[in-house]
Amino acid sequence: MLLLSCLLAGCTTPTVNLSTSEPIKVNIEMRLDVYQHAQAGSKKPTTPSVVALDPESARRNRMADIQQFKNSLLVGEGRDGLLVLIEKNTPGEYGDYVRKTLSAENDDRMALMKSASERDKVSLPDVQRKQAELWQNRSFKNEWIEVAKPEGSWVWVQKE
Amino acid sequence: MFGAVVAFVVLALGISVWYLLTNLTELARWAVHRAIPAAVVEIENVHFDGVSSLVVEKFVLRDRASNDEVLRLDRGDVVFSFDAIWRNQLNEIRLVNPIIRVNPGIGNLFPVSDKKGAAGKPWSFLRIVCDYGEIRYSGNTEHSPAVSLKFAMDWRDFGDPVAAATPLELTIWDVQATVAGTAEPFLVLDVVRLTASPDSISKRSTVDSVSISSGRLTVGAALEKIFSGPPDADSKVALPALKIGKLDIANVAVRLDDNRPEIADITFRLNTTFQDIPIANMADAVGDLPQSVEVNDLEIMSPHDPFAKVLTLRSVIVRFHLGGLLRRELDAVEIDRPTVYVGEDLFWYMEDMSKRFGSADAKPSGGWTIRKLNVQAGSLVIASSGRANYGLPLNFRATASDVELDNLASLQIETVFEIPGANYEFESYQLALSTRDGELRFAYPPEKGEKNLVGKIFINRIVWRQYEASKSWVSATFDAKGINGAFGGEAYGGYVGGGFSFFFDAASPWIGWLSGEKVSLRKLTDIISPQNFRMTGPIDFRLQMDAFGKNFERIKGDFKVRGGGKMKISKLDDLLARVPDTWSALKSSSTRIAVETLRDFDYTSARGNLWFVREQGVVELRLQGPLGSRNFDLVLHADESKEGRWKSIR
Repeated sequence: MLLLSCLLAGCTTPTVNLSTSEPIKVNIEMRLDVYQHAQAGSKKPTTPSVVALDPESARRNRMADIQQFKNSLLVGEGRDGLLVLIEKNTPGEYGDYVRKTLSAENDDRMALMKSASERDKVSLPDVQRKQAELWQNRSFKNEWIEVAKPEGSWVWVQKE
Repeated sequence: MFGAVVAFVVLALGISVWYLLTNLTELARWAVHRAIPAAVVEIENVHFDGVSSLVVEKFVLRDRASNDEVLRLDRGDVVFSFDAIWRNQLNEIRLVNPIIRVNPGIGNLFPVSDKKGAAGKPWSFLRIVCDYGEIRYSGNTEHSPAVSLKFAMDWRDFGDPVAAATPLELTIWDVQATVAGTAEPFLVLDVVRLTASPDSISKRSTVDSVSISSGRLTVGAALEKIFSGPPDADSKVALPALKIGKLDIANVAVRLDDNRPEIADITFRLNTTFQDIPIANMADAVGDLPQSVEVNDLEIMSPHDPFAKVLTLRSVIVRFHLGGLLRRELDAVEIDRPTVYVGEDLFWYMEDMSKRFGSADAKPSGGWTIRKLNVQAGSLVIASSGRANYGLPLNFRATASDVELDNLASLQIETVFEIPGANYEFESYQLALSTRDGELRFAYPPEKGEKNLVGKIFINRIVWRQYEASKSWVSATFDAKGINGAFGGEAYGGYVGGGFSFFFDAASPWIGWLSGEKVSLRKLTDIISPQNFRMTGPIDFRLQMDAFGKNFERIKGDFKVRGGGKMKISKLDDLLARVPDTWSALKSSSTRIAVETLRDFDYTSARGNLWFVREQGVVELRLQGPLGSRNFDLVLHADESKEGRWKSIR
């Protein structure tokens, strides 16, 4: 016991240096998901894919994906009021998803345009032409659009 | 012998009387022929009705040269007494249905006698009466009006010097004046009463009074034709130096005859009185009268949609004088509270009017001139394909001189409507603005011949919710396809600009874009998220958006902070304050370090981008500084659904 006491008394506490020669760099990657919850009593469907939606609602549900495709320059607004796949070589599962989503979008657009054609007693090509003009007017800068050249042919350009 | 002579004379007288009585008609024809040798007379019958009344039936007088009928009388009664005849007086002359045709050459039928005073004592008439007569005057040139009228009179003691000061009255009605080549009379007067005494006519050359009650005057091609003709020598002679002591005109409707539908609707009432006006100057005097017409609640509809308004005018006051109208001049047009309905229909209307009334290159002849145009308290309403109309919060006004209305295009080009400065507050939109001034132009720029409406206003200060800008401007161009606008202004130490396009041809879609330069991020974040989140540094940003009505469908943008700055998430202080005291020192300290590391960050570069589709989208924020980086992805989900590849970012 005495020996232990002597040993302890004769030793000093070792210094631990916590400082660094360079400031500590901290890289933070954070994703924050904000959900808009359906209010109590609301009949808004939370799983729209299992319910047969009207074309307008279905289009609304896939708008974000379509926007992503446009942001990635995969698709463009064609002269007939339909979306056209510009980047046809998108590989893998994502490529399949793009094609499938595009097909569904065009089916819904065509259904809406046929409905407008019957309602307004206007030929379908005229409705398509007007819709194409509207879509292209509303396209964002850099998005693909199909425009007429002065000599009558069509060309794909990124909107300026 | 004497007896035989007396018997002969009596016999001769008897034969003469018998002859006269049995040949009155021939005698009358002979007498008229002697009196008017240039005329041919037709008399059906002349006979006595009793011993003191002579009746003439079917009396017709024709110009021998032209065979034109000058006078037609169904019947004339002359009542006399022998003692009155002795005094050069007839008891009564009654004219039944006389029709007097006044032709240009009628003066030649009645040669003026130069044997003044040779006739001796003038004849007088105790009564001249006509219950119904007509006078028809045919103009002598194509520029002279033809006039017809009906008249009646009952004059007493006509020609009696004792009663010469007694006024006589002539009642005229159904006056109609036409000019060659026009079917409708340009002037109709319902009743005219003339009062004059023989004395005032002969001594003062004055018709005491003329009273015109109701009628209508059409100012247009007929009057222009009359006044455009050469001076009418005959009419100058026919209008003696007579004057009218008092001319009353009451309730005469004056209508502008113009093929423009808006102008053709302008009708006003003429009510006025003149004193001592020469007959020769009567037209000029009436023509110089200042007049005004007020039209209220005038609505101009679309040429393609009878239910779509393009322009409403709460009040239009047109000031003019009749003489000016003949020269197509209006002294002033004052338009109060016009509302322009800006939409496809307005520009269709402009196009339609340009086609109908000429283009800007049209010759100026034949157009109207407004000496002074004043428009006040005008307003604009956005009218899109018959859907709900949206009023714009601004008024406009205009003043202009000598505006040529040769065609609508020239009015559009030359008139600049001023938008006066005003303060506006729209509580429901949480919007307040103070405008300085502005202007509104049709078909601008003029050299391009556009069918549009261009407005620009300058704003001293605009406040929307908690946001504020100053020294701003908004410009908008309205045309048949929609509205294109741009705006700019100083905000939060920088400059913010943007634009928008609003399309008429679908369910109110529009696109917009917004950009900012050197905007203080600190001021912006202090407003957006006070006391919770702050970033500093001047930021540049760009946003594009698609929208339907009030709903934004798509927003896409990017931003970049110039230089460096500091981020502080003050909201995390609340988290730090709630660290339980029961936690160990190590746990508490490490938590505090982690949270503070997240809370405060000095960056040398900051950039990011965002996109939203309706209520879902992604905001990416990338910060880089000496102590590392902070990369945040904020993903907004419309609901709890996991569907959508866009959600699987990273």
